Amino acid sequence: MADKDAAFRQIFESNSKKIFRLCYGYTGDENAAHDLLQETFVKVWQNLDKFRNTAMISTWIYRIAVNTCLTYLRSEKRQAKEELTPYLAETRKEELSEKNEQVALLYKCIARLEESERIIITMVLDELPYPEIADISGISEGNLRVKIYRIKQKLTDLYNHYERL
Amino acid sequence: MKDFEHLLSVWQEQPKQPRLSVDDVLKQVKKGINKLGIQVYYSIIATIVAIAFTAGLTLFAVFEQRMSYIGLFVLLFGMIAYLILQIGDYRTIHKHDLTLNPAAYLNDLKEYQKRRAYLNGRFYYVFAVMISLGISLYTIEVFESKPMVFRIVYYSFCIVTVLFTTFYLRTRFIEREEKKVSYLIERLERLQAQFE
Repeated sequence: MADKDAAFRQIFESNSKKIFRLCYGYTGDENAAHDLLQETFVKVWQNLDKFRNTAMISTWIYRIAVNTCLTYLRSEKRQAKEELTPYLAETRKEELSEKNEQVALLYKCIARLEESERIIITMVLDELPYPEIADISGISEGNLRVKIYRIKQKLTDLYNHYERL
Repeated sequence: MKDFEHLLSVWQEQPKQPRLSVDDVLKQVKKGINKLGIQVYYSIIATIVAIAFTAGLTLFAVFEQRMSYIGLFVLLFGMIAYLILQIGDYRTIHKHDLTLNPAAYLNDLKEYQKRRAYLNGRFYYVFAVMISLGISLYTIEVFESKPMVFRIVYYSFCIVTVLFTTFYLRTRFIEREEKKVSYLIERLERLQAQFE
């Protein structure tokens, strides 16, 4: 058990940040992202013994996180937000540095995408290799490239649109 | 006009960090997570307790009339059939993991929906008749020495309970569960379609 704890700690430390971003990008809500992060790692813990090194552990965790985000179904109230999280929205503008404003705007734009697009783009932004994204999302690499191209364009358009406002 | 490279740099330089610690997660993982099947699980436990109690009564209590034993056996038979169906429902919902294999889970959910419709529909009437019949036969001897008023009150209470459960509670329960399962199915199907 102590070995499992130690292995889990190491896995958590090296993957939690990226998984949190993925969940945050998907929900646009910091609290929900924490819930999803926790749920993902609960699954990782429960299935750690079953994990065979046939795939990279990070890919495996991503897959769990993606599916956890996609089945973010506990209640209708917790559907993906289309607007900025209250945490970000209530933060007074003057308190936000330029960088934070840009991050907030980026999350706002991601929240405007479809659920599947949100998942894919967060992996693209985290610079996961295309074969890995294809593997995690279950889309063929050819289709994925087309899809990613469109999502990138959509996101950039949204970002430029909101920045002008 | 910003290009995608700019968005990439914004994303990668973001200072946002998860405030969840590994210790919090470890605490949580050792506690476990509740799922849809928890209600079925509690129902299974309750049925097992009821079966154990009835079996104990059948084995250790002494009755003079054969009717009492027949009543207890009818009760046991009804409860065991109910238990078997409930275990089947529980296994259906736990066959695949929602987060590890959503597509397989979606099929399980559809099967679960059909099973529950049978359990709460046609089977419920058979179950209600068996339980009512079992209790009626069992109480003939047990209430033999009780005053008539007691018996009238008791049987009236039983009839009202069965009617209330059948026509009010059951429909509410079915509606609530059906809504929850249908919502899960609808959402999983919508998400699956997005990736096709």
